[in-house]
Amino acid sequence: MIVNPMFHRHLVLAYTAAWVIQLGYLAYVVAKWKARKG
Amino acid sequence: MKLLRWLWVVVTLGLLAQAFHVAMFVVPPDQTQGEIQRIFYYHIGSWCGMSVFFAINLGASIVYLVYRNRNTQRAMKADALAVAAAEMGVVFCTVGLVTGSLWARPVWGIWWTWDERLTSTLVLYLIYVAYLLLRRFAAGPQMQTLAAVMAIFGYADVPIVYMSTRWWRTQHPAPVFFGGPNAGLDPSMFPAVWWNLVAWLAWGALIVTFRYGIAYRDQLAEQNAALRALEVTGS
Repeated sequence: MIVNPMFHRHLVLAYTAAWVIQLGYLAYVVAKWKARKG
Repeated sequence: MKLLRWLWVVVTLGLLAQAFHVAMFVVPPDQTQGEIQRIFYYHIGSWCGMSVFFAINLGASIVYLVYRNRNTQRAMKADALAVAAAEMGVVFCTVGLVTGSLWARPVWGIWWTWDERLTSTLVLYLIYVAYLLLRRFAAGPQMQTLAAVMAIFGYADVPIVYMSTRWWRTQHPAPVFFGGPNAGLDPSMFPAVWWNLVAWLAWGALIVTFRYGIAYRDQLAEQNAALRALEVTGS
């Protein structure tokens, strides 16, 4: 039976955590840029 | 220039989407670990990103120390690059630690172990967090010099992290690249590794470029403010 890897809890958590951390940092950089412009 | 920047954003997002697709749906699952092994593709992408950006931080710190009394503009640019690269390196290091822990739980049965690879990585993470805290909270003209010196000493931990699985017997497996016989991946898994390496490095480079611009403009503003203060004091 082929199981969709998207349903593996730890796998989904790891990929989600990676994106949350990266996007969180991007938000920090964008906030810094906006503060500079303002 | 603006068009080129947007093109870079689009290409990076395309690379990330392709890397995700290949890692999740194209390469086969691991024979022993099954689907959970796919964490590896984000895990290795993060570690390679961390190594590259900490190396850039090291190079920029050395350039800063060399030029700080000779060419102020060049030194300021190097310092701005150093802080941008260090932040990105810490972000990648955080992702590496978190994904590693989430992978360790189902595979090793534990979230964390104090083996040499994990411990030296945590020490590296703390060194660079301390570097960023120093930059954030220390004041005065010596701060950048101190930070640059700290970056050089901090980078000494990077080869220890890399070599730890060869020097000591660790819970963490042998290196995938240049790990010797019986180490490494099945060739069928390499497309996911390469796509993720390229995609995450492109992502890191994009954000570092953006952050560098902000840091450099901040430094110019600080320099101008200092010059104005001198003029006011002089007159």
